[in-house]
Amino acid sequence: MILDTVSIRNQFPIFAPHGGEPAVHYLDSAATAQMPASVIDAITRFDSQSHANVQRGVYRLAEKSSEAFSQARQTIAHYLNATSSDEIVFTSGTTDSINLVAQSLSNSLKQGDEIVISLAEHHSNFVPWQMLKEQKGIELKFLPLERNGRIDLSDLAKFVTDKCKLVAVTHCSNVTGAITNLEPIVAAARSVDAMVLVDGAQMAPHGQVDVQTLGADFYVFSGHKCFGPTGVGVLWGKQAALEALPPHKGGGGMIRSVSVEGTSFAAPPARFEAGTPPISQAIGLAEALKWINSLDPIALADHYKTLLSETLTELETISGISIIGPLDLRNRKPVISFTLEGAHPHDICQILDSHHVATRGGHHCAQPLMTALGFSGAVRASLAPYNDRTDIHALLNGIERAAKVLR
Amino acid sequence: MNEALYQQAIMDLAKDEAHAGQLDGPDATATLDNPLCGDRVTIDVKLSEGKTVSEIAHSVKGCLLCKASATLMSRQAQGANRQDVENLKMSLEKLLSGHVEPGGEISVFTLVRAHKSRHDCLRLPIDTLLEALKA
Repeated sequence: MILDTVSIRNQFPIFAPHGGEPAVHYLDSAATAQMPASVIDAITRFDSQSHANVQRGVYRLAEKSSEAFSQARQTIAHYLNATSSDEIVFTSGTTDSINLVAQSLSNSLKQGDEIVISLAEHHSNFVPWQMLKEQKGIELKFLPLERNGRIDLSDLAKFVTDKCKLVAVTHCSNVTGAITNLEPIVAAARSVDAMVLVDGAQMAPHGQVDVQTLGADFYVFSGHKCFGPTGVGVLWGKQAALEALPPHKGGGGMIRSVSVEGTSFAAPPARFEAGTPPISQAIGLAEALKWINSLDPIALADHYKTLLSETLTELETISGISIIGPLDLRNRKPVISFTLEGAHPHDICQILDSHHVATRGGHHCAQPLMTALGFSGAVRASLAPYNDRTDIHALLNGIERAAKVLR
Repeated sequence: MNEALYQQAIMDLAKDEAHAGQLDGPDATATLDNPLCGDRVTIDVKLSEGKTVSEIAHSVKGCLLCKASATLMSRQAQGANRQDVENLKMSLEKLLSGHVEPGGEISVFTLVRAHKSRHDCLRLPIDTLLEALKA
């Protein structure tokens, strides 16, 4: 079956004509994916018919709100194949989820303990661990990269030793699109009783994830990269892993009882959801995951493969282009980063914008990866189901034009 | 069209290397990064009587707008004291906010006003010079 991108585009109000402006060739979904009407409608419907706080009131509106919120948690649990919706913690995004784990773990760590991350990480899976290193005097080790940007797993045992308490790695790079082979990482961590956190921010938007098969302890992702709203993200944790963690924030909604003598805390997930959670955003995210599930995964994979192959082949014909990341199509998502000799990424993006092509330029919040691969910045084009050949042609024409204007 | 940003006058400034590089034995030096894109500017200055810029050099790892701004700023900083550089920054801010048409060479950047995400590209060299003069 062929993916019907026209029908998909028609589901996204952002691509409808606005005041005579040509529709944007949106190639920045790895930063924020657009929202289909079904998601926008679900949020609007909730906010206009069921808006109330959750798990507090007994009136009908509060019951409706609590029920919708609970359903959203179940939808997310189903998307991740979690064993229970109690394993789903709502956060404000991937960054918040990782910081939650880092801060909750901090009390159980002592000087000399080690955490292993990789040089491919987004700053959100890098800086929180560096901050923990400063706070607790732990050691931070970095898995190196192969020349094509994939995480080098050839010497895992050297990095994951019996001092290791946690391995935190990306499931898919936001710069290279390379998918991490998690199996040996999980096995190495298990062999020394270390936990594993997987940053799924760039993987979850591409279809269901099976956390039970992956075998990690924590999996995190953001709503706005999954065609949902901003301000919501997910921390999935194995029940036992969540139960072992103390809360990182105090407040309403996360307690069992409070007295002047002290507080006892609620069980997960409430323990980690102090204050009013992002209710309508969670409902929007659940609707977004349903939307992803409505797509034919095989047709989508074929579509991406075709577009990715065409883009990489055509890019390589442009003089001065260097592609950052694997050139083969295996174990790779449709994220394409490149540089053009003699032109700065932001200048290229500016020229592309004048051709109505939206791309991202810069270090992509992955400066250690950029440094390791010898780049200071790059242009990134990232694809979503609403993209088709016309977007790729616009991108390629824009790059040709940028090369003429800027060099 | 955003392409107009890359008009010849800006391209000429960006490619002008008269003040590019480093100084031997500068009296003051500073480096600032643009956290958004990772661009980095280093400014070296020599000062006469400890106050006035007698020599300046810039080292820019950045976009064309940043390079053009560094060139223009270096030209105008010759013989300037800290207050003159503050005034230059003020002129740039006025231009970017659109409240005043400052006239003079700096007006070459007028088209950047509409692109708020690029304002910091112009600010980075002058902020780095101010940092150097603070030291």
